[in-house]
Amino acid sequence: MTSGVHLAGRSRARLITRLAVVAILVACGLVADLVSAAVTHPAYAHAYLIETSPVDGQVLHSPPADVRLSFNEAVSFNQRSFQLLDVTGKKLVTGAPGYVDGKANTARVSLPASLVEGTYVLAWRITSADSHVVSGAFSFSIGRPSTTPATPVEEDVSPAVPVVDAVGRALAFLGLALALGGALFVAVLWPAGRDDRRGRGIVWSGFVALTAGTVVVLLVQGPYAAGTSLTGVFDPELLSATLSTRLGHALLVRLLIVLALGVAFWIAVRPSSSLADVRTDAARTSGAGTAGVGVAGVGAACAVVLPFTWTLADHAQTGEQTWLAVPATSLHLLAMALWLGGLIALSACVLLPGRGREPTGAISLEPALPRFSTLAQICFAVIAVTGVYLAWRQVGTWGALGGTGFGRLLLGKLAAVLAVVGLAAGARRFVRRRGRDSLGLDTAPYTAVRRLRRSVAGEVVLGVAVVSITAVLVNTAPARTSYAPPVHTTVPLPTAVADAVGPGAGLGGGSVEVKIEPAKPGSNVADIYITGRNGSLFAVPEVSGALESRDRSVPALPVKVSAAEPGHYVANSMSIPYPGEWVLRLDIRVSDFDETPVRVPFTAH
Amino acid sequence: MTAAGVIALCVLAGCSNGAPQPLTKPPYTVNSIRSGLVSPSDLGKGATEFEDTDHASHVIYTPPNSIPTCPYVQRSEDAQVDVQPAIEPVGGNPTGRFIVGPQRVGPSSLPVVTQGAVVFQSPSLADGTMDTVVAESAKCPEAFSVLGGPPSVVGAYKVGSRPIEMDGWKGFAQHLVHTSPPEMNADTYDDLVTVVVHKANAVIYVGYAQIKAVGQRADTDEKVKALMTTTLARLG
Repeated sequence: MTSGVHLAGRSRARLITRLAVVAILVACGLVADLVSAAVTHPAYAHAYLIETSPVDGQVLHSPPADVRLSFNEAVSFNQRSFQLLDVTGKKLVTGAPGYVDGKANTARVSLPASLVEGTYVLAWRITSADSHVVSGAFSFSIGRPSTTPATPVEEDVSPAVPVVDAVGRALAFLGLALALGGALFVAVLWPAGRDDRRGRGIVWSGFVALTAGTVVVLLVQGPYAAGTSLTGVFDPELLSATLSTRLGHALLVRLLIVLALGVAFWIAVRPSSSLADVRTDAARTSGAGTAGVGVAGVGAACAVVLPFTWTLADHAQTGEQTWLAVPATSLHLLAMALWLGGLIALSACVLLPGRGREPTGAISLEPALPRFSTLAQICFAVIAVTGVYLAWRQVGTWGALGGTGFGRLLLGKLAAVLAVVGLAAGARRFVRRRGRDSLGLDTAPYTAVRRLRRSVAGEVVLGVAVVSITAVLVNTAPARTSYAPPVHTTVPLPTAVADAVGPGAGLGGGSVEVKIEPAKPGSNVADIYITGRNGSLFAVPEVSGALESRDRSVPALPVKVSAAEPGHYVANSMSIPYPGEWVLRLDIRVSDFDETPVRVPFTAH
Repeated sequence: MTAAGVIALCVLAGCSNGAPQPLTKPPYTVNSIRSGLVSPSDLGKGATEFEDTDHASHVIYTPPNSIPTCPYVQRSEDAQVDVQPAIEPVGGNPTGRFIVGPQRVGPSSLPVVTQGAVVFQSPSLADGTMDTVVAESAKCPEAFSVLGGPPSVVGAYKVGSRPIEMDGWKGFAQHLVHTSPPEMNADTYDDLVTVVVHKANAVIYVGYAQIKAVGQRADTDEKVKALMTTTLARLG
């Protein structure tokens, strides 16, 4: 009956070699992804600064009592998050930072009263609501600006910190899969699993990886938030600061849940346990069944709650529709864990019999394989539905899909998932076709089983690849917030220009073409082309500009416009304070006496 | 299984982008850095190259081993700031200045490329020089005039600068537009972009100049970026 699942020694060695090669490639790809992410994105633009008091570059008559910052979302910080530097770069002592009127999206730092005349820089480094760190700096002057510019702020964060952080997150994802999916497979789907040493080992390794990954993230978050090197991982002050944040709370809760899950699994699979009997034949175990059901209930509850320790401290709980995004992301994570962990356990314990097993060296595919196949089908449905929703929520537009690192990573993940689905569909066909056979799965020909093994091994490799990409994705700013397509618009010149006489007479029927890059908060470059009726550039005596908010909620901000080639004007440092609807107002002087205003509306992302 | 492995390899390890293999890699030498300069074949048919040693005849003199920071400003009578047109690096080994261009320059001819590089003993020395160049170029006025001198340099100058990054080379692209007084030449203008970039122990500059008809858009910025994307790729 079991002859079909024997694997010849040579074939097994070849398969193991191939798996090792692909695993190395996966590891290389993961490292490349992580290093790339760390090098190219040392800080991610998750929260952004909306306004400060004093404003950047402001000259004050007397020292302010404090500095206030306002962000677009809730932020967390500690004493080290703010540094006041004088013109020589010397750090000055400031008061303990706090929130303004208890608002979580603000920060307030009291300044020393003894500030002398000159320019000061306030460097800030805060943690966004999604646990990622953003930083910046602005300057202000007292009395008059210093003759020498203020010392620039050096970013001293070690590039190794975000890499280790991402490795910790990946380890935690993999551990979650092995712990939840592996436990479900070993304790429920596979009747012989409770007594299988390898199966239990896989699950326990999952618990270890999950715990280790969580601890790594917990320890690294302090140096990450403070912008220091890895030597700060055991700094009690940094650890205490991390534990006071939402992420710290989530990680602590995760460790407690892992502990509870571990105890539940230990009870379920211990040799004296009757839980397995309860599961396999509930009617036979009425007394012990009550305890067994209790343990199973605790385990199930922990499994459902566990993913929330990720989603309540990451991208899911910021932005739009958090009420739906948090449960959807949790469900997505849970389905991934049950599928991938179960798949790894299935392939390692059932499909790839190894050394140290029973004398026959063979294991029945029934009923573990069809049960897992059904579970995988459900998981894929959940992953697909929640994945499409989450992709839409995080990306938003087709342009952002190809135009951002997040979108490209998501496309890579989608490619890997589609390959998994293709392989899984083949395995599912095998199970259904053989399931209809009266002799069952274990009578399948050796070649068919070998194909199945290879297919499942491929699924495992791709599944690990998906996890590795996901670990990088959660460290990357969502495409919806990071995507900023450059503005390129053309506005017709007002008809009044057509009536102009003198040099401006040729502008009748002309237009103003404006390109703004990157059309994001911060410094932007605006190219302004004034063209006449025939499409040629048309030089005018002067162009001046101002930036207005569409709702007029802030006063117009002056925009310095310089001439380039005849008819082309450039605003090299147009500062956009925050995302939203804006209007670039251009006052175009077409002659010594005539000036015409042109309003160019645009959206800053 | 094989297919899955290939997919995993492509998805995770990344596929080759087909870029040409570099001819050299850091640290650069005076000889190796020259492979990153523009050659006549890069510019197009009809281009020739010569080393600019006859600098004394220039209407705007800058030392041949210097790095440009604000071309033509030394001829200006109305520049309000004290800025040097070029920086002579200390402690570097210059390649000299090479000019690639057509035999005869005109509105429809090939552009003229004036270029050179300086190689240093260490990246930190190159960093320091680049900082000096950036600081000096930042002082270049947005507009100035040249009122006297050879007719080819008289007129109004508009200057703008933008940061640039190509294949790990970082620096700035300074756009300079020269328009002659209408009574001298109302039909064309000079469109010049000077790119100064730095990587490892080297600093490279490339000046790319064209004559454009008034009413046409300046496109030197895009052209020089496309050209340098090719040439810098040879340096690795």
